[in-house]
Amino acid sequence: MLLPVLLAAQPADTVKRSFRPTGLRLGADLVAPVYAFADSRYGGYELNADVDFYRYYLTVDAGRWQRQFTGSRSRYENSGNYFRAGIDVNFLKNDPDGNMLFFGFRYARSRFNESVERTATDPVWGTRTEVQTAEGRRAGWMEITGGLRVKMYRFIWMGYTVRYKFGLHAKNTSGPEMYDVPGYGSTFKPVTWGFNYLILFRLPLR
Amino acid sequence: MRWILASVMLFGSCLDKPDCISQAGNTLQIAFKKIVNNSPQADTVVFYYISAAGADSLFYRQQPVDLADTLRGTPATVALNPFADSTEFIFHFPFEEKILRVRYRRNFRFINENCFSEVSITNLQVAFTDFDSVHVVQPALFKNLTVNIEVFR
Repeated sequence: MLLPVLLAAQPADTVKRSFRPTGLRLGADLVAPVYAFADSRYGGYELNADVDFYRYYLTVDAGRWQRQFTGSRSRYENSGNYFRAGIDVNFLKNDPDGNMLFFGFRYARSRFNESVERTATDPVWGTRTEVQTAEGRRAGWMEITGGLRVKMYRFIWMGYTVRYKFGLHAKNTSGPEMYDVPGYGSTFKPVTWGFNYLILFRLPLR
Repeated sequence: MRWILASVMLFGSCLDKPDCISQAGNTLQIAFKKIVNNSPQADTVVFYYISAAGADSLFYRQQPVDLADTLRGTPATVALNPFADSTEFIFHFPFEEKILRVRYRRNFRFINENCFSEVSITNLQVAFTDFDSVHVVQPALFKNLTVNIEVFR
């Protein structure tokens, strides 16, 4: 007998979860061009996109990265592309603008070329300059991410992402020993950190 | 936010770098062995010198030139060509010459901007020899010398 009463007593302001996307954000990293301007050894850019499914955001990043290091009688160069895909979870559930404080996970892949030029002197074999190159190298890694996305004005958003990169896996093919993976960094570091400061433009989907 | 960005710019590229320590070398050690009572033992060898194809230097050459050198159980130490993927050594014994040609993989290693790069030599293999029996016992060459090849005459 009480059942109809209990059913009728359900809270009237319950918000139904909707996993239909409301907007697609497209943007770019501002750190990469500033870094490239400040440090002539680095060049690159990164583009970012995400789309919301309730409080979960499907996120994709793609970038290009090239580096040049000059050592003692040696020179290292790499260039390549990378992408990341993953999910961010927004912990600001009831923000009316949809601002985000998020944590997430990414899987990343990179495809790149490397070369090392070295001049060496051997007491028996003399002095020679050689270049060793490797093309089409591949590497992958994982990232735990966190950050903010804030609506600045109408469709303009800004934010940052802190990245904890780990689990680098790569196959050292013939050529120079792998030194720097675009999107990850130096291969001798088991973990690295990354930071992006983003400007994004949101396209409403409904 | 501005300070975080500035810190990343300033210090991001200077974080810990690999030590400027070279581990690779191109010195090859060849041990001469003989079988005594079914077990390998160090052999004593006498030769005039060892030459390497493509190099002017001669290993173990004595003065006067017809004076032979004797290795009493110690390995012969020669230098692989770090600019090629193979090296041929000719052992000039008193009554014969023997050839040992080895091939290997070379990987350049950029250590960091303050260091010389190095070439690591691995995957050492015997490409040709007219010795009776030759075995590779350590296919990678390091700064710390160890016997790489055993020769049974």
